[in-house]
Amino acid sequence: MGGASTGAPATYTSRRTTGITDPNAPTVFEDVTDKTSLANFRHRSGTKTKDYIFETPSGGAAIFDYDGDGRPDIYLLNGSTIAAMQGKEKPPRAALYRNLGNWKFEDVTDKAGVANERWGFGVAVGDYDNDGDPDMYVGNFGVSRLYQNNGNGTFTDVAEKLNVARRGWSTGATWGDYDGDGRLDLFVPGYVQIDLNNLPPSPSEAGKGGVNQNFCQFRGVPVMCGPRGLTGEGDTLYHQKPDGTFEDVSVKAGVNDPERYYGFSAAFVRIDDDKLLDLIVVNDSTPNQLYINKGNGKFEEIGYPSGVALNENGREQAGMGLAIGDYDNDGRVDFHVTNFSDDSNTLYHNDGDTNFTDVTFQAGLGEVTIPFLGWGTGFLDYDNDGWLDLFVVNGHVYPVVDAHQWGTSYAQQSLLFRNVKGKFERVGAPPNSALANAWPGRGLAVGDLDGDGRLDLVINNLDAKPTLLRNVATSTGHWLRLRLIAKAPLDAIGSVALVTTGAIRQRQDVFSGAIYCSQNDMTLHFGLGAATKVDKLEIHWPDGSSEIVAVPAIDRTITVTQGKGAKQ
Amino acid sequence: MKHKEVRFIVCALCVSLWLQIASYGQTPTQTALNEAAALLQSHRFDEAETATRKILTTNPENADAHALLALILDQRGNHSEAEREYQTALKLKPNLVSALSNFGVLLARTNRPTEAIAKFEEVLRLDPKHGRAIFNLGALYAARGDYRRAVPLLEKAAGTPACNPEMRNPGDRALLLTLVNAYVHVERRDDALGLSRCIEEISRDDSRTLFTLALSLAEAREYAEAVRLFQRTNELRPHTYEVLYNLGLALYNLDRLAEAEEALSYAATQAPKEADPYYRLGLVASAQGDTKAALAQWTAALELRPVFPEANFMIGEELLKNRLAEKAIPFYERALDQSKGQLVYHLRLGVANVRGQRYERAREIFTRALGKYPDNSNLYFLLGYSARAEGQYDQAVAAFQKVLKLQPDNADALSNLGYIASQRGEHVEAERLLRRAIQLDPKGYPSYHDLGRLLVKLKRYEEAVPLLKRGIELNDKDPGIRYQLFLAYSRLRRKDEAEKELAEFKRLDEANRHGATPLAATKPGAGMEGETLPPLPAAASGDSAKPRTP
Repeated sequence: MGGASTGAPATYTSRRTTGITDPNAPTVFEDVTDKTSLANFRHRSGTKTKDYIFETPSGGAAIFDYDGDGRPDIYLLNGSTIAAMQGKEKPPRAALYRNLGNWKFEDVTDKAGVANERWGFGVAVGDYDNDGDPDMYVGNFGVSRLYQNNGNGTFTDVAEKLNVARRGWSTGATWGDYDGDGRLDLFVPGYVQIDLNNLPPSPSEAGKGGVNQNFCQFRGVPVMCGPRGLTGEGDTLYHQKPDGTFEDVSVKAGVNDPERYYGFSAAFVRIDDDKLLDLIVVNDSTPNQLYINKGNGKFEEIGYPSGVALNENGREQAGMGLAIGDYDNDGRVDFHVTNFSDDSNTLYHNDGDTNFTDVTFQAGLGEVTIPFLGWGTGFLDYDNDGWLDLFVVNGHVYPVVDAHQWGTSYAQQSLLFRNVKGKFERVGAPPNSALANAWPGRGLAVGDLDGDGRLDLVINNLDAKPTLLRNVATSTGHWLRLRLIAKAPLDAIGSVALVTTGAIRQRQDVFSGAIYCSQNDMTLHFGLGAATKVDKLEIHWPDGSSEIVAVPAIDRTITVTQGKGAKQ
Repeated sequence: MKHKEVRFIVCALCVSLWLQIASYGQTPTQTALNEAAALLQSHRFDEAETATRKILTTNPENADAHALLALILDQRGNHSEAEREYQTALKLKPNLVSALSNFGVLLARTNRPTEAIAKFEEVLRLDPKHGRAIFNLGALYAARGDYRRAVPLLEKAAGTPACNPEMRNPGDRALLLTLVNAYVHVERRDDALGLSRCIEEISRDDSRTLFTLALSLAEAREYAEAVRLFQRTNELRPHTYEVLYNLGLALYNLDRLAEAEEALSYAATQAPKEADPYYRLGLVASAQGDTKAALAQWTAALELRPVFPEANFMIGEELLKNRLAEKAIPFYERALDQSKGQLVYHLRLGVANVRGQRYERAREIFTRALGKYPDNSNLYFLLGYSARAEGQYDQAVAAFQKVLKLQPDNADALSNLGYIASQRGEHVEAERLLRRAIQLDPKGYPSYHDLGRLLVKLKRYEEAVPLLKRGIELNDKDPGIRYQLFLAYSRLRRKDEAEKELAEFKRLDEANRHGATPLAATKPGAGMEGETLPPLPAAASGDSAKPRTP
């Protein structure tokens, strides 16, 4: 058999996920990884050939100030191997890097006791015990952990003790006080049920039974199976009781995911105007779910009628990451969901009344994203012009794509889009710049790591060192950073801050999780453009109360404590 | 068919020539010519040639002698010298009808029909009642597909009635067979069938005539009549490969698949080294929905005849039908490699690449084919379609605009341009294009879908509903349009209707997901659905329900 030539050899000119540069583009981010100790971190996840689905999606990253010194720190999850899971080799370790300032980081993993040493996927930060120190939930393939911050630079895994040691395959969790009792609750999406003793066929075993081979091929080439064809996992909502332990209320609350969709990312966030935290879950290859909080401990799932279950053509997509933000400054929170290659990412505009419209292509995010396989994504105002820009981390799941001329690649460039009043334009990558590099990216976290008022990024790359991107954009505008402290929950998850400067009113939400199995610094960052003062700062606190706060100054971080105003 | 008619012309003209020659008079030269002609009639070619050349040594300007020598040389297979002799004869006597007529025969036999036609037309100009020229010219017109000119000449040659029980001459039957064929092609079906029944009547036991008549009817797609005649032929000459094979083909075309399979299988046993029966058996199996059997038959055909583009093509078609685009591609490539002139091979190879999500490769194939077929709107359409699939909207728009340049009212191109405009947020232009597409093609489902979707996006739900409902009337299998209608109802707070549409959407979506064909689909594993595309218009893509050969 075999093919025959149809003429001159094919010349493919448009592998569109690597090597796309623009010599005239400004340098926005500088890759400073190798100047820091983060260069020593090596992510590792299974085989090089990616024989099984659990070898491909790890893992998350977090930026949070674990020691309360005002400098955001970095946590990177690691993957694992089957041999490590079976105790036959030393497992890869997650790492916590303490920010010493001036782009110096110290590996404090051992001291902090957060190496995880399980197959890590998601990290969500929340001060669940309201002691003023951020705690971490780590979603694993295996048993998940709740790292309680002891307030002295160390953590203790209290997952078993508090009944949140979820088994199975936990991904991008989110914290939020859905019932308004002042205590954070925890939602954990489940992905796929995997039995290590009965694995689906690997690509080298193509055609062997167990899984419908439809789901083990990509363009006719054998690849790892799934998620389609594999049994999904339900999701879990843990309600925190007054004694600090948790109870599984998934079924009672109506968020247990009986369809067993393949969950990846989730966030508690206010969708409508009722002051209650709603919940969005982004699922891989199955419809996304949008749960509206009814205020009685129950949620109503409205993914389909809201429009976020599917894309505008009624097609479920391979949802990976989730960006949350009011990109068009209309006062309502919008969503950006990353998807598989040969498909666009999706921008859902919140029309109000719990209706969303897929505006991906008209917003400029359609054509360009089709060849990319997206993971972590976040809205961030990198140039402080008062409009949320968008960052997307990419990388394919099948190493075999590099052996074919399919227009895509295993390692892929990240995408930065500049928001021009609601329309997005791709920011070009100068040759040899950070944006010109390609990585097998997964997790992403955003935060101002050097306190210069420009948002920086950390990317967790599959089977590679991470990428630390320092924002070096010039001609940026003024800014304001808000650290919110609520009465309860203390870390203010679920709060909404509205900043008005001139005719623009920006909204930012304090949320946990989302992005893709990752955690942004929860300090809210507002670009103010040319404005030299904030006309109005309005905070909607988790308990439903609202407050107008006077802003003493800009171009700095201020702390706003509920009922006590702002201080620098 | 063409070859058969030309051969028949030659035979007819041999007789014609002799009749002409025999009419020569009584001068010594004429007597010598008559004697030479008699030798020719007796197939004593050496003596006839010697005698004629002898006449020419003393009468080098005798046109009749040159014409006779030409005929002798023609009969002996020396066509080039024969041609020179005809030219000499006609130079000496331009209106020598017999030379013109016989020269026409030579030209027809040496596959120069246009020159032959010119000669016979000249004969008829000189002698409008020249019966053989009338017939030969009619046969030549028919052979080149000019049936409208052929029919009156053949009818004139056949006389009235065209068919009667006295016609036992093979030449007469050949004439009638040609006339049947011509009638069919000018859509005089009743005349064709009436004449064919008459031929059948006078050739009841003549298997050759019945077989030829059946072939004509089959060629004219009168398969039911053809089958009856092939079956009668099969009774007269059982176990004959050609008869069984053609019977199988005709049965296949009547969708009498089990009988076709039986006839073709028997044909294959009669000629085990012939690849064609296996190829046709593959078509039968495919039409029966037995993909595995079809692939096995075509593979068997390829083992017997490795250079068999049609078999490679059909394997590609079968695999593509089963959503195995990746596996189909090498077969299309091989078909194209073995027969580069077939536009359909380019098209389908490109379509297979589209289906396999190899959009860039597809565009390369379509672009290359456009180099060969520069004004082919289907190729431009598919080029645009694959660019659209890849999200390369600039290129897609350029290609669809090329389609419109070639076919300003191409609704599919307008519809696609409308979709792209909609995607780009150019809503006014999108609506204009989509409404125009619907106006041009009121049954064009994608336009209703895309316009309905646009109106939903624009929150013009009331307007969207009737369009979407009309779309569903045109295509009730697409979950996508149900989703749009669900959204419209949902936002109009028509709860019951919304729930109904959502349920229907989910049902269809689920059915689509599990609608893999027996050989399984290459549906990717992890949400790799690609951009949502309208179905490829069959006119452009070449998609067809029943297997058909290129």
